Amino acid sequence: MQKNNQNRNKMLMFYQKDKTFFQLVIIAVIVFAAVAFMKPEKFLTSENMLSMLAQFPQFGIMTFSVMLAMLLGGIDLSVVAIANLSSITAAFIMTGSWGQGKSGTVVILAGVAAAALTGAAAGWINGVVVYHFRVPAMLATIGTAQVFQGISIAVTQGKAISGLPGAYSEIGRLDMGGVLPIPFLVFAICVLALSFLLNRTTFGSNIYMLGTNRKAAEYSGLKVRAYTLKVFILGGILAAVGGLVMMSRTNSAKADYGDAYTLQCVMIAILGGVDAEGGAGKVRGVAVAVLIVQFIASAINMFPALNTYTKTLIWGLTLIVVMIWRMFSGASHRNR
Amino acid sequence: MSEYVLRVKGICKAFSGVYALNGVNIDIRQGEIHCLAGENGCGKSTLINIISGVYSRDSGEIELNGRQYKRINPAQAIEEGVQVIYQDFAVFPNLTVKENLSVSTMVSGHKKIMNWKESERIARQALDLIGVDIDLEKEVGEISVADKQLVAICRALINDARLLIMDEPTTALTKKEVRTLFKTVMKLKEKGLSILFVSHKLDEVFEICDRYTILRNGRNVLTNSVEKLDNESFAYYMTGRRFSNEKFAAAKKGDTPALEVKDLAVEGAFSDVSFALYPGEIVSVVGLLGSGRTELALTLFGIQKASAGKIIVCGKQIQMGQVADAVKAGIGYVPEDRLTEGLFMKQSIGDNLIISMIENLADKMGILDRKRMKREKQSASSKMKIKCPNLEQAVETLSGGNQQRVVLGKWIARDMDVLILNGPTVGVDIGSKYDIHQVLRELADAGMGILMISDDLPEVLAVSNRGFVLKNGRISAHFETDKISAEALTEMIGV
Ligand SMILES: Nc1ncnc2c1ncn2[C@@H]1O[C@H](COP(=O)(O)OP(=O)(O)O)[C@@H](O)[C@H]1O
Ligand SMILES: [Mg+2]
Repeated sequence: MQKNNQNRNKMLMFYQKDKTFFQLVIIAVIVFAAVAFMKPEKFLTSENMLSMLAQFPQFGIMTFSVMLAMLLGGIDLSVVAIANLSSITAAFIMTGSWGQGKSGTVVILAGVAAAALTGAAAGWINGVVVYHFRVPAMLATIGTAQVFQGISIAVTQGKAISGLPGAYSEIGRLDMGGVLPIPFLVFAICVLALSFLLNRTTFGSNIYMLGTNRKAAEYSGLKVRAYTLKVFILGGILAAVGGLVMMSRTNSAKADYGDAYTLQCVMIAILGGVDAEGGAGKVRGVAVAVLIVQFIASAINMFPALNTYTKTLIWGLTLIVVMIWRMFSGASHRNR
Repeated sequence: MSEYVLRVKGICKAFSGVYALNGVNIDIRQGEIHCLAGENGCGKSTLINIISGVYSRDSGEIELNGRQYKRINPAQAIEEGVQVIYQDFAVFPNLTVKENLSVSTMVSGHKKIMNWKESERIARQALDLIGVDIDLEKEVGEISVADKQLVAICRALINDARLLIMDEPTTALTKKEVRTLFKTVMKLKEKGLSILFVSHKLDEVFEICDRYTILRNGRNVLTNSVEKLDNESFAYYMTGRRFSNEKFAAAKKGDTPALEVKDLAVEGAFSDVSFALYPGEIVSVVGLLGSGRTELALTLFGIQKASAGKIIVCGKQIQMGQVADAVKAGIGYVPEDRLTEGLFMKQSIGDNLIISMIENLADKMGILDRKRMKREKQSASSKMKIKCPNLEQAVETLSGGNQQRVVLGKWIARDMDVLILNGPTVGVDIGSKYDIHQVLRELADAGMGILMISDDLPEVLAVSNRGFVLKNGRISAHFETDKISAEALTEMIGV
């Protein structure tokens, strides 16, 4: 009896410590159950499960990029543009003539490295515009998004680049032992690495502090400039990884893939408990939010009768509900 | 009609199991100014929130204008004429003064269309009630704190206040603004309003209050009329502690200055500033606002760039103009405004305490040692005697005095050679102030050099061993605290 009580207390404390996460898990379970109940014959199949596992990593990884910018109290609306620019760079490298005769692995690795570098450079540019020119992150990244996409369109003339090495597109389809698609593995690695980085390293501590109060950070001796740039560079690299995953799934790269992801990523980050004012938000919360959104997306797709407008409407409503929920739980957090 | 506007009996209120109020009584007569005093965190704001119906009480009775309430909600409280001007008072910052003053009348009058002439009339009338003049067209976000307060008072009056509650209204005001506020409060009293005035400054209590009630740790200590009260017993009733008034005798340790400044200048702020601060010393910097004292501190800490001069820490000249360099060299800074410059409000107390030393708590890869983090958090908080149930709680839940301890603790966790303090006890209650002074003395004893900017002359005299005066950006005089009186010091600072 006593013991039982103690356990209950422990669980309660655990719950209190990360309420948002538990609420999200509950929502995820409810959404999953609801969809499974409505369309069991379509939803509860292994094909569907596998295809979901392969679908969300691309926008999930991009969401982490947005999340990083939001932790600093800003936002990044250029993720998708960076993702496309990076994957186009990779595609050029992978399809270029220099690689003829070289082994497929070398070509692919070179492409991946080029994409990561491109993402890092684009992120660095965002960081410089935000830090040095003091442009609000929203405006800055709307601007740079135009530039990045502009470059992408110019170098591809707006066409898709295809003809990637066969081995690369296999990655997008390959399942590890028929269970785990590789995109999902990449996503899982991102989740673990980012969690570790944010929760267990000085980098993480500094980011949360800096996002909470930039002036106090400066007055506490934190290297504000270095951390701002690092966050945007890391965000750029994550966007590139998202782009690479997307490229493996479509087997091509194009300047305007995934346009709809920009706002979706922001929504997921907020749903996942990232504070738009900066300084708060956990990777695991965002990861669960990614799942929730994927469940909803799959559910919508199971009603082919719905036209695009209705789908957009459903997304809009979801967004509003998310905002209202976050407003309320945010307020209760403050009144603690 | 009852003699009392408000009677509160045996109010208890607990937050997650901890009593913030434990059987508190208070009663306020018609037309009196009643002071509610007590250290930060003793429950004053909580009591106010219960009277105004914002929090529900766990037990106890509330009687307003002779009517008993078991459970009172905000609407009922307003109906009974209770108006509160909160510590962080709520006016609408994006509305103009005029709109702020007319909005509630307009809304409660169920008017759909804002009539500008009408709202101008209402607003003007409201300001006339207390005889002040504020530009009606300005947005409230732009006017001074003092004026905001007056606007809030006017709003309360428009809403038929009978009991006006002001939660620590003077903390953010200059002396002159406090005078204006007091005049206004006296005027309200003449009009027959009752006022509950929260303050922990004795001179304020003396000046305007009729009676006072002192709380300590959520319990009543004493209610009495103000005639029979002196400084020492007031401090004793609030804190339950007796304070000694002994002076600080600094022992200079070593011949190498902890901080040496040579011909330092910042264009437009100060010039030719040279001084040395030895380990074990507490040196005060006094001077009027605009004398260059804050700029001096910011320059020493690397936030501002110097146009000339040298800064030498423990014998080594340091690179100027970068906070990180100053911190690395061993300089810590406790800023003027702890809310915006010193604290990460929504982060935990523990994280705030260790952020300046976080690099030392990780290995070369930057991976944090969680056990050491926990230890450092605990040791910093116990060194600073921070009162809180748990270090994972957000700093914003702490009282002002405890928050200031966190800001100080940030630098104490990391061993610094030089600590620069800018107004270390502004807006801090007596007990915390005494503790902070004690900590400063201990730090000096342990060999730190402390530079303290302060407006509070008794503090300067009690805590530091010497100091200098800044006047128009230059050092105009040096003094030793055991050879000078507060009057002479005031003279030196000038007007
Ligand atoms: N909303 C709240 N939740 C939890 N604890 C609270 C809350 N409000 C106040 N407290 C606690 O109650 C005590 C009294 O606080 P408060 O009434 O604000 O003190 P005062 O106004 O006298 O400085 C403090 O220990 C404070 O931490
Ligand atoms: Mg208070």
